[in-house]
Amino acid sequence: MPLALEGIKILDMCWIGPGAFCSEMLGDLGADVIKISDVQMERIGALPKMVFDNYPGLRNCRTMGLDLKAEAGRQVFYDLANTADVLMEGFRPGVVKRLGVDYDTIKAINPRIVYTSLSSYGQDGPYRDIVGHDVNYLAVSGLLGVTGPKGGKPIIPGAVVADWAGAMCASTGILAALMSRERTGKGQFVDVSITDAITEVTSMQINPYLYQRGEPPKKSDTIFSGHYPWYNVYETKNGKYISIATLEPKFFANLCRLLDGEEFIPHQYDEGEKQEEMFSFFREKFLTKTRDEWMDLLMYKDTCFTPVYDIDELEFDSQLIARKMILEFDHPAAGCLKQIGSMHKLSDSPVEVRNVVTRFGQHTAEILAEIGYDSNSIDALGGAGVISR
Amino acid sequence: MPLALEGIKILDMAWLGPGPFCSFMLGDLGADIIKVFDANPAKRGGPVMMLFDSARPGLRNCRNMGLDLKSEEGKRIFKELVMTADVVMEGFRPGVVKRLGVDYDSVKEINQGIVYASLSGYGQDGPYRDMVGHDINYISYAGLLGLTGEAGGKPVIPGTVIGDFTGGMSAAVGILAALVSRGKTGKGQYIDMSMTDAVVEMTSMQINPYIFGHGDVPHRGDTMFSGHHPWYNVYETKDGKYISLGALEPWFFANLCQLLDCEEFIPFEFDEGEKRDEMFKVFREKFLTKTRDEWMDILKQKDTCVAPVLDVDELENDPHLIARGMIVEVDNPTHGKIKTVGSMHKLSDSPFQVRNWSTEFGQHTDEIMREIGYDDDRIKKLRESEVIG
Repeated sequence: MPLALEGIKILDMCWIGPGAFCSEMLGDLGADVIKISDVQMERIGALPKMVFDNYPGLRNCRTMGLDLKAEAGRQVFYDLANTADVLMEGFRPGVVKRLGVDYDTIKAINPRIVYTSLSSYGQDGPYRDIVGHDVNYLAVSGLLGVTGPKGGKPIIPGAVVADWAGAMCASTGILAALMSRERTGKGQFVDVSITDAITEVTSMQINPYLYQRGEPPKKSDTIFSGHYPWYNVYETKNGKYISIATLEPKFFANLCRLLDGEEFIPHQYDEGEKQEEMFSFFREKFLTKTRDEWMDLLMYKDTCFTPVYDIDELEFDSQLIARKMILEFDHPAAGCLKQIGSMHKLSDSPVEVRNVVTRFGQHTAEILAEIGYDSNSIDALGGAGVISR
Repeated sequence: MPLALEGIKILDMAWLGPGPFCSFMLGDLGADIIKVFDANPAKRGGPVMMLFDSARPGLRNCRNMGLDLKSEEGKRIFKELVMTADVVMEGFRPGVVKRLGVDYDSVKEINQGIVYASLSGYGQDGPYRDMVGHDINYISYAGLLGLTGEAGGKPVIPGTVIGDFTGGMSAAVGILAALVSRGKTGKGQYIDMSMTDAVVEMTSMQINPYIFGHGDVPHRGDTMFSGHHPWYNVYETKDGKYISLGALEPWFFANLCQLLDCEEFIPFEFDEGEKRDEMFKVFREKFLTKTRDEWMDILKQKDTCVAPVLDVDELENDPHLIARGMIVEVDNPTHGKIKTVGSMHKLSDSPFQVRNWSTEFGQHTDEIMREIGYDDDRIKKLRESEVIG
C-alpha cells in the first residue's frame, strides 16, 4: 500500500513554528512537501537557517528557492500552485495579498487548492496585526496563567505547546478540507490561529468555569495539576523526580499498599488536614529511595507511576526505542544519527526517513522539471536570480 | 457547501482522555460522532455519567448510545454499526478489544474500509504497553515535565492536560490521513496512537538538538523558549497581574527596548552573564511600575511580541477571542444561553456551528438503532434485556 498521503503535493512557505511542525507531520505521512524559501540567504530569518547550519537538516521534504517579488518568480509560483493540492503560508496577515499569492488569486488558477494561512492570532479580529511567539499565545489562552507553582508566578511550559497546537489544527483542517474536496471537487481557505488552537486545548479548564462560575481554576491547584497528593511530582533520594497519577481508587489503593500507607486508602479525595498529612507522607516517603529504585518497585504495579526524565535520558528509554520515537537514521554527511521519530503509527503507511534535506534550494531544478520546465528555462531563471539551486 | 466531514460516521469508544478531544474536533468538522458507551454506566459507576451531570450542558456535535459489548446480541449490533461506519475509535487498555471481539481484525472482516484507531498512553506494543497512567505520566516520559518549571526548582505540572490533547490531535490527524488514503485505495487501516509518542514529538524541538550533537542538555526554565532570556519571559506588573514577552527577533527586541526606555540593551540581546542579569533586573523593575493593562496599551500594537497573561475568568471578555468565535454564546437545551469555548477550526466553506447537544446518556440509542434497521419492538426488547441503554 502507498503511504497515506502519497500524491498530495504541498507548497509550504512557513519554515518555522506551527507550519514547520505541520508539514513535518504531513511529510511523514507521505505527502510531497515542497518548502519554498526566498532566494537570498540574508532575507531568510535566523531560525530557518539554524535548521541547516546547526542541525543535520530536515526529513521527508524537498526545498526550493524562489523570488516571489520578481514577476518571473511569481509566474513560477503560479505554475507550481496549479499542480499542488495544498498551500501553506505563515506570513503576517496581508503579506500574501501584497505578493500576489493570496487565496483569491491562487483559487482562480486552481480551484481545488486547499489554502492554509497560519498566524499568531488569525486573519481577522482586533489582534490580527500583533506580532508574537509561543509564550504570548499561551498567555492569551489562559494556559500560562494556570501553569506554575501554587501562589507563584506563571511558568512557561518546556516545549512550544501553542505552536504544536497550531500545527495539529492546521493538519486536521487541511486533511478535513481534502476529504471535503473528494466530494465537492473544491478546495477552501483554512485560517489557522495559534491562539485559537491553544485556547481550545485549554477548554477543559475554561469551560467548567464558563458553565458553573464560582472560583476559576488556579495554578497547581486543579485535579490534573497538583491539587491532590496522588496526582503530583515528588523528589527522590538522588534529586531526580517521579510522577504519580492514581486517579482511580483501585490504583490509589495499589500505591498506598506499596508505600505502606494503607491508612490513606479511604481518604483519597479528602481535603484539609488529611490531605496535608498525605502530602507530607508522600514527600518524605519518596525521598527514601532513588528514582530508579522506585521505578523497580512501582512501575509495573498499576500505580500510574513514571520517572520524570531529563532530556539526556530519553534516548535510552526502552519504550521510546520500541516505538521508534528514538529513530536512528543515516545522514548523508554525518553518518548514523539519532532523532525523534513520528507520533503517527498507521498500519499500512509506516513512517520512514525517506530522505534527508541538507540545504535550501536543494530540489529546485528537479521540482521545476516535474512541472514541465526544460533545462534552458531553468538555467535562465537561475541566471536571473529568480530561483536558487 | 456541506461541512467538511459530512457523511463520515465515527463509532467512538474512547470515552476519556484523548478520545473525546479527537472526536470533538472531528464532530465540529461535521462528522457524525456516535459515542458508544456501556449499556448501564450508572450501575457500574465510573466517569461516563459525569459527562451528563446536570450541572453541565452536555456534549456538542455528537450522538450517544449505550451498548453492552459483553453480550452476544450487543456484539452483533456493534458489527451492524461497523458495517455502516467509516471510523472506529477505542481507548481501552491494550488487549481489551480483542477479548471483547471488537478488535481491528474482527472489524476489518466486516468492513475492510474501516479506519480503526486505538488510543492509549504508551501504545499497543513495547515494554510499557500494559502500564496504566495519566497525563502527568506521559509528559514525564516525554521529557516535557522535566523541562517545565523554574530554573533550579522542581518540575511544574502544566495547567492543562497536554498529553491528552496532543494525543487527541494526533489521532485526528492519523484518522483523516487514513481516510484520505482510503479515498484512493478503498482500504482502511489501523492507527496505533500513543499519547507518550505524541508528546515526545511535540518536545522534539528540545530533544533533537541534544540527541544530534550530545552537547548541552536543555534544562528546566532555561531554554530559549522557557525563560533563559529576559526578552522571552513572564513579568509581574503593578497590579499583581502578569505580562508575557516573546521579543525574539532583533527588530522587535529593539522596539521593546525603545518603548521601555532602555535602548542601551539593544546591542546585547543575546549576551550572557552580567549584561543578561542586568537586563532581567531592569525588566523586572520596569514592569512593576504600571498595571498589566497600562503596559498593554503602550506595547500591544507596537511590534513587541507582548501579551497579557489572562486568568481563566478573564478570557470571556477578551475582544479577540470573542471576534474569533473562541468564546461563543450558544443555546443549550437544558441550560438556556451558555458561553462555551468554540472551535479552533476555521474552514471558509465549512464553518463551525453547534448542531446539537447530547445532554443525556443514551439519548440517541433508539434513533441510531432505527437507522441500522431495527424496529421499535426489537429496540424495546433489547432495552429491557439491558443490551442497549
